[in-house]
Amino acid sequence: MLVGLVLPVVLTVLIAAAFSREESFAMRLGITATGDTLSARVVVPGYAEDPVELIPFNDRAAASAAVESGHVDAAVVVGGPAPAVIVNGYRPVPARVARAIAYLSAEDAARAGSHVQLVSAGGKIRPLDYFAISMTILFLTFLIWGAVRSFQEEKEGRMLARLAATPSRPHEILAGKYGAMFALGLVQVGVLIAVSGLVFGVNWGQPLLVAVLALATVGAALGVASILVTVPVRPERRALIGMVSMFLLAVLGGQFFPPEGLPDVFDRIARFTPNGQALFGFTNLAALGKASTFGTIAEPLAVMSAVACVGILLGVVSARRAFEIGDGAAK
Amino acid sequence: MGAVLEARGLVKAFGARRAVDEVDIAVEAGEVVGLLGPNGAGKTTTISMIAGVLRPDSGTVHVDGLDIRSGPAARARLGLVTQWLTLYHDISGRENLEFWGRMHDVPRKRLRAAVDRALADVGLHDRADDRVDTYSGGMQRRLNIAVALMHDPALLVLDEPCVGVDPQSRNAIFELVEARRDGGVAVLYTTHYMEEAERLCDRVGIIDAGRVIEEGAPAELIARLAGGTSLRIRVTDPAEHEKAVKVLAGIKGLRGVTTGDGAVCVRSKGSDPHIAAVVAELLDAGITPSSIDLDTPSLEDVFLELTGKALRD
Ligand SMILES: Nc1ncnc2c1ncn2[C@@H]1O[C@H](COP(=O)(O)OP(=O)(O)OP(=O)(O)O)[C@@H](O)[C@H]1O
Ligand SMILES: [Mg+2]
Repeated sequence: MLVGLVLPVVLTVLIAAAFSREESFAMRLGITATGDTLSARVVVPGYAEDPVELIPFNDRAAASAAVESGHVDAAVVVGGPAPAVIVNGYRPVPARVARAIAYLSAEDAARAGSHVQLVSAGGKIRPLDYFAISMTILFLTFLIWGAVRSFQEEKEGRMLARLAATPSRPHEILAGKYGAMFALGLVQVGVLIAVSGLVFGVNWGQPLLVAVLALATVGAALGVASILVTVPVRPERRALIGMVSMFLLAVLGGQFFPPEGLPDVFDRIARFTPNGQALFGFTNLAALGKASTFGTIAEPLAVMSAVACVGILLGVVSARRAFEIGDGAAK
Repeated sequence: MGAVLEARGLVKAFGARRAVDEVDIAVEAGEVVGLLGPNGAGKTTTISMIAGVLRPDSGTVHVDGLDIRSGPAARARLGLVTQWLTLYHDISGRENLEFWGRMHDVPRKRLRAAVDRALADVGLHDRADDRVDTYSGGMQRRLNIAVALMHDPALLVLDEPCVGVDPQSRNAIFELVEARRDGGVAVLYTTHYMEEAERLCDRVGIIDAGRVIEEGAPAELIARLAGGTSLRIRVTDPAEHEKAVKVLAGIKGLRGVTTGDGAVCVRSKGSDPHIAAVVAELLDAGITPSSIDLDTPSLEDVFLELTGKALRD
């Protein structure tokens, strides 16, 4: 209970507090306008002192290409039927600035009498939101690791072999075990979402998509832990090795620093980690809010489900062997 | 009435070595059958096959006529006390028993009563709500036994349940086994402690290197195989040894009269040591015995006789 809920909440508060100063980044914004050029009255609240360099592009395609190549941090398309924000990946601050510009220009247009609609809220996410999400994932992985590790000890301690002598059937026992671990993870995630929402006003995004992503994230945590626990080491070393691996994954997954300002390669590495994918998924949901769709979390869902399937399958197979006393577990 | 446990022709090999080799065991209701053998004899392997958690290479196990590997109904009739502890150390004894009760399909309504009864049976009711890792080793052993009692099994299988248990608790465990036996439960009990087998078992199978080499009631095995009781007689005057040997050799029912260590040793053929006859004959011959030691043979001697090696290394 302490490790599962209290500690994560406390640490999330501390870490979030350390980062809660709104940070600002020097950035270049691409601007493209189809009708009148952008009004010079653009003011970006909160970023007044920051050098926001506006670079005009001829059309949307050119702006988009510049964002892709990293030449600019974000682009705003104004003057068309609706203003749009173009960002590449999770770039909260540029996205926010771009959104502000888009919004202001939309107001301008509205005042001028033309019909303008905001299609996307763009990226609005604070460092606090980011760390609330990141810490939730981090603590989930540790909680699940602990559960999977004690499950492994049950296999090796021949608890499963003894369970096999009860009237319960092996598949019932396994379903019970994995079901309990799943429920444990979901409860923790649920509580952290609720607490961070109530205390810090973190908006996680559309509840249904968040729930789906949470399921996949718990599954992936189970999968990763089930794979890690098969590393053949003495039980005393296992705890240490698991912790180190999980921290490493967290670092690679970008859970300790937002990808802002880091070379893109980190971003790409993070995509290969299930926890990094979880982070992408949740931050995108938070940033996009109502504008998010199932497509927003498609990639994280696919990657994490795959990891979950592989890991849990591995765990089930090794558990099946532990049901037989003599054949699996040596003395 | 047929046997509650009927195991026939059990064989299990690990690699090239046969850990269990053609073992037959039958246990009737209200009977305690012991499986006595040294480390590595194959006791746990046999029991694992009986409990249905290890697939035999060949042979069958039936409990109440049901094949143990046929499904939950057969396993529900069996209570297994493993040689290793099957306890969660970070929860209380009561919670452990509740868990095992649920796994044994004890109905929710009866669970509390079953837990209380099992706790009382193993004398742990006053520590029931403490975490298991605060228990002593012997207390954990006793809780481990209670695990198998939750669902009132028709067959109770105990694999060296008294290892590391103090004599007092051991007695409590014996009494518990006897009480269940008197209630009609069939009990299979493995041990490498002779005293346990002699005290508890109606019949004993002696197992060595995977084979049951002898079986019968403990007293019968001792009488048949351990060569009777022996007496060590000291006489007041060592010069009378020769005479004593001659006198004793004439008594029927004795054999192998020897001298040594300043004493005369005789062994009886049966379990009767013929003390009265020995003393009377000696006194008649004018020899006064100063002390007589009685050496009762045990299953230990039976085992020594059968295998040529001591039971415990
Ligand atoms: N899983 C296994 N793999 C290989 N050999 C095994 C395995 N389990 C048992 N054995 C071997 O089978 C033989 C019988 O072992 P078993 O555990 O049944 O003995 P035991 O009579 O219970 O001994 P103890 O009194 O020490 O508990 C031993 O030689 C043991 O090494
Ligand atoms: Mg054993």
